[in-house]
Amino acid sequence: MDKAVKTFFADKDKVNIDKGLALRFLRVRKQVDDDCMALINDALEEFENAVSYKASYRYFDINVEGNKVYFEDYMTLESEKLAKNLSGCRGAFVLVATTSISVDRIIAKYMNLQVSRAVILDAIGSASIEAFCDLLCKTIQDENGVNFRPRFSPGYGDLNLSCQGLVLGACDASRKIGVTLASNNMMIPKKTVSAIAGVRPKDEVCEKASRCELCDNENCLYRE
Amino acid sequence: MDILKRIQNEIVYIDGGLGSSLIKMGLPSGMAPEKWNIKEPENIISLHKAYIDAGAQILTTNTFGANELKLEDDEYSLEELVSSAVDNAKKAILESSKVQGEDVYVGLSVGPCGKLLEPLGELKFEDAVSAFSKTIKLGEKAGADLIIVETMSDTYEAKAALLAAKESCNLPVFVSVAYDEKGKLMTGADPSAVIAMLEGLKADAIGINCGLGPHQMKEIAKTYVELSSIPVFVSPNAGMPKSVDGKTVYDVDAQEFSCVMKEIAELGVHGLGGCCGTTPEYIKATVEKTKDLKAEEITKKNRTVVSSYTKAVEFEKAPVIVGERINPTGKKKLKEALRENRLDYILNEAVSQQDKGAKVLDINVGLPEIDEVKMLTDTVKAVQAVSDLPLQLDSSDPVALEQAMRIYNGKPMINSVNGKQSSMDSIFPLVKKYGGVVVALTLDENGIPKTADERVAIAEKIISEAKKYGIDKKDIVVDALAMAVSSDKNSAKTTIESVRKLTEEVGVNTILGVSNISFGLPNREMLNSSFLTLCFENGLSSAIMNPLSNKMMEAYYSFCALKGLDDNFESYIAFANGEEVAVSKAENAGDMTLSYAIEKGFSQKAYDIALSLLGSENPLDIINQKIIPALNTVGEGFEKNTVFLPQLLMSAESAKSAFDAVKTAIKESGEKTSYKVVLATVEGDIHDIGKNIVKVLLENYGFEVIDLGRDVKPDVVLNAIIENDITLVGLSALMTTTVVAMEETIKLIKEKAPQCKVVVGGAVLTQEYADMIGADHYAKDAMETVRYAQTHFGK
Repeated sequence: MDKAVKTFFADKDKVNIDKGLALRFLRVRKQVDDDCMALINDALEEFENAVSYKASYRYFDINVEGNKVYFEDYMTLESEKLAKNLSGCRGAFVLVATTSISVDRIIAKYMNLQVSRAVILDAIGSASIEAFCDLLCKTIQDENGVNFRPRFSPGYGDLNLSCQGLVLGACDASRKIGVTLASNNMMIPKKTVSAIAGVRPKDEVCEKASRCELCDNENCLYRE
Repeated sequence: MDILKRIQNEIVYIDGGLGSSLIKMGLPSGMAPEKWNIKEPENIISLHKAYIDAGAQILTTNTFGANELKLEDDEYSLEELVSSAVDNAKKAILESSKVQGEDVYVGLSVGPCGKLLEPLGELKFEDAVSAFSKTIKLGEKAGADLIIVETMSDTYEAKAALLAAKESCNLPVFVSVAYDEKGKLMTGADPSAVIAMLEGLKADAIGINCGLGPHQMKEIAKTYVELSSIPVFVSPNAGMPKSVDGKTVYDVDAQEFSCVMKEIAELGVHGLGGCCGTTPEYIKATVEKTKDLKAEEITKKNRTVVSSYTKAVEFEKAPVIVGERINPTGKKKLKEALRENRLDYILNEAVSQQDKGAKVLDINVGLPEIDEVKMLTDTVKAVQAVSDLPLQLDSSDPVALEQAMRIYNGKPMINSVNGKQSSMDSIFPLVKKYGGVVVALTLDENGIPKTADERVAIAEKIISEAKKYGIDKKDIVVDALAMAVSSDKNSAKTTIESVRKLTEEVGVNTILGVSNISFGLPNREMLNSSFLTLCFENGLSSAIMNPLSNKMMEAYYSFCALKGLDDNFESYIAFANGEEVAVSKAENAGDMTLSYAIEKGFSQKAYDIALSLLGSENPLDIINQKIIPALNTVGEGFEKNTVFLPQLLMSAESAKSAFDAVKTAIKESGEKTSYKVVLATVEGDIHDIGKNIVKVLLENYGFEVIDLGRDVKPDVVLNAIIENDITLVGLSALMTTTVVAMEETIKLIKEKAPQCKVVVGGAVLTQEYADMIGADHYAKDAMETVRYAQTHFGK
C-alpha cells in the first residue's frame, strides 16, 4: 500500500449534499414551507460558491493489542472502542477532510448579519462534510481495491480528542489542506472531519453499520 | 556583495527540500526536525554541504517549525534550536570545498506557526508578531544573513511574520507563500492581493514555494513577474508524492524539474530553489540548465493597488467607487450605533454598500465622545470579518490610523495626509512602514487654495515630500477637494480643472468626496450625479460616494458603458435589470399585514409595513398589539414542533426590523424598561452558533443582551455581571471538554456574585449535567431560555 501522504480535492459538483441531513441538523422534523425551502436553496447556492473540498490522508500498517492500536512507529492510540472497530485489521487510513476556511467565513459573516442564514449555512456545512467524507472514502477504497470499516473519529466513544494533533500531523494537514488546531483540540476550519478508517481484512463481509452506533452520546440530537 | 544586491541583479540559487531530505536520512517519524540541529548536527551539515556543492547560494536553516507557538520542546530551548541551526549552516559553508570566491548566505527559515489568526482562528495578531520576533531575533543574533519567511498560506500570518522581521532585525527579508491547485492561498488570497500587501510592507523579495510542482507554479510565477516591482523567487515541490517500496518519492525527476525551472527563470524570476521532495540533484540540474541565462531586469510597475485578505483593487481604467456611508458626519443613526457600540449596524452598512457596487469601503468612526483608537481597530476587524473589500482607513488621529494600519489584513487606503508639514511628518512614516495608498488633500497651512494651479502645486509638494520616504507617486491619490458650489459658483469648475490638470500634467490618481459639492442646495443627488460624470470625464480615478444612491450609480454605470470601460455592458445590464426587479418588488409589498410578514419571515416587508403604520398608529400599540403577538405565535409553534428553527429565526429577524422601524418613535416617548442578560460561550469553546440564536430571540422579546462572545474566561463573565448589575447569565458550551470550563465559571459566579442566576445550554448538556455543575436552569432550546428569562424578571 502507498504510504505517502496523499491529497484529494473534489469539485463541488461531485459532492452530493444530502438536504434531508441538513434539515435534520436544523432539527426540522416535518415539511418546511416554500419560503423556508427557498431560503435553504439560496443558502446552498452561496455555500457552493464558497466551498473548497480538500482532504489529505495516509495509510499505516496497524497492530491492535488489547485497547492499544499501534500505527507503525508514528503513534499509538488507546481506546477500547477504536480497538474494537479495528480488530482484525492489518492497516488503516488516517484522513482529514475539510470544506475550507471560506465556509467558516460565510457562516461568521451571517452570524453578524442574519442568524437564520448562518444557522442554515452551518447545517449545510455539516451535511456537506459528511458527503465529502463519503466521497473521499469511496475514492480511496476504489483506488486501492479495499473496503473500509465504518470510519471512526477522535471524540467518538473513548477515543480522546487529545490525539488530534497526531492525527492531523500524520496527514500533514496544516500544510497540505490548511487544517489547524485551536485550544481544546478543536479543528479550524470548523467544518472539518478527522477519522481513522480501518481496511477490512480480505473476504470480510461488509455489514452496514451506522456510525452513531460507535458513539456513546445517547443524548445527541442527531442520533439516528 | 550583499544578498539583496545579488538577487536584484542576477539569478540566485536557493537550496531544495530540507524536511523531506531529513526523513530520507532517517529522522524518526514524529520527531521535530529541529531537534536534529543538536542531536545529529553532522547530518544537517552534510545536507547543507551537498546543496552548496550543487550550486546553492542561499542555505535555509533547519528552523521551519522553530516557533514558540508550534514547538513545545522540553528538551531544548528555542534559542538552542535556532542558534545550532544557524551554526550548522555556517559550518557547512566553512567546511565546503566549493566556495570559489562566491558568497553563500545563511537564510533563517521562518515557517507558519501552526495556528490560525483571528477572526476565524484564535491567535491574536500581536501574539503572532511577538512569537515570530523571538525566533527572528535569535536567528539574527546567531549570525543569519537574511530571513526567509516561507510556506505561508494566510496573508495575515505572512504580514505578522514580515512585520516582526522588519521591527526586530536589520536583515533583508524574503517572503514566500504557498498556493493551492486553484492558485489561491488557503485563506483565499490571489497572487495580486498577496503581492500588493507584501510590497507595501517592504518585503525585499517575494516568492512562491511548496504546495505545487514546477509545472503548476509556472503560471503563478508569470503573474508575479508581471505585477511585482521587486525580485521574485520560486521553490516548487518535486511534483506529487507517492510511495515506491515503502519509500516516498516524487513524480517529477531532477531533469524534468530543471527544464521547467529554466522556463521559469526565462520569465524573469531571479531566485531558483526547491521545496518538498527536491534534493541537491535537483538544484544541480537547475544550475546547469540556467547558469548561462542573463537575469531579466526588474522594472517598476507603477500600479496603484489596494488589497484585502483575498483580492486586490487596481486603479486603472474604470473609476473606483469608495463607499462613504461608514462615516458619522451628518448620520444620526450611525452616531447612535457608535455610541452604543453596536457594530451590527456598521456591518450591515458595509455589506449593503458592497452589494451595491462599492469597490472600497471608507471607515471613519471619529466622534468626540468615543475612544477612536479602539473603535477604529475594532470596526476594521469586524468589517474584515464580513466583507472582502479593501478598506479606506479614515481618521484625523495618527495613533488611530497606525493601530488600524497595523491590524489591517491587506494593503489599505489611508485617508488622509495634506500639504501641512505636520501632517506629512506624521502620516508618511506610517505609510512607509505599513504600506498603503494614501489620499492627499490639496490644502496646507494657508487653507484651501482658490485656484486649480495652486491645488496642483500642493499636490506636487506632497508627492515630492513622499519621495523622501520612498513612497512613490503611484501610492498617492490626490483629493482636489469638492467645495459647496452654493457658496462659490466657480468652485465646481475649479475642482474639475484641478482633476484634469492632476491627471494630465502630474500623472497622479485622483479622488473626490463628491457630495460636498451640493451642500446647501435642494435635490442634492441631481447635482452630485452630474458633477460626478463631469469629474469622471476629466480623469477622476475614484469617488467617495453613496453607492446606495441609485442616481449616483446610474451616473457611474452609464459613464463606464459610454466610455468603453464595461465589457459587453455586463455591469450596466446587471445594474439596470436589478433596478427593474427592485421596483416591481416594492409594488408587491401591498396588502400584507405586519403579523403575516413577521410570521413568514419577510424582513424588508415587515420594516416597510411597520414604517407605514407609524403614520396612523401609536408606536407602542404597534409593538404590543402586532409585533409581540406575531412573535408569540411563532414561538409557541416552535415549542409545539410546528415551526422549526430557521423559520423561528427568520421571524425573529423580521420582528427586529419592524422594531427598528418604530424604535425612533419609542425613544422619543421614553418608554423603556430594560432587563439585561449576559451571554457567553465558555472558555475554550469557539462554537457560538447556539449562543447567537439565543441572543436574537432574547433581543426580540425586549431583553438587552450583553454578548461577551465566544471563548470567554470566567473572570470576564464575572466582571460583566458586577459592572452591569446583572441577575441573569446564559452560558453555552458545545463540547464535552468545555463543560469543565462552564462549571468553573458557575463556581466563580456563585462565589462572587451569588445573586446572579445561571441558565445553561448547548449540544452536550443535559438536565443531569446542568444539575451536576450547579446551574440554576437547563434550557433545552432557545425558546426555553426566553421563557426562563421572562419568569426570572417577572415579565
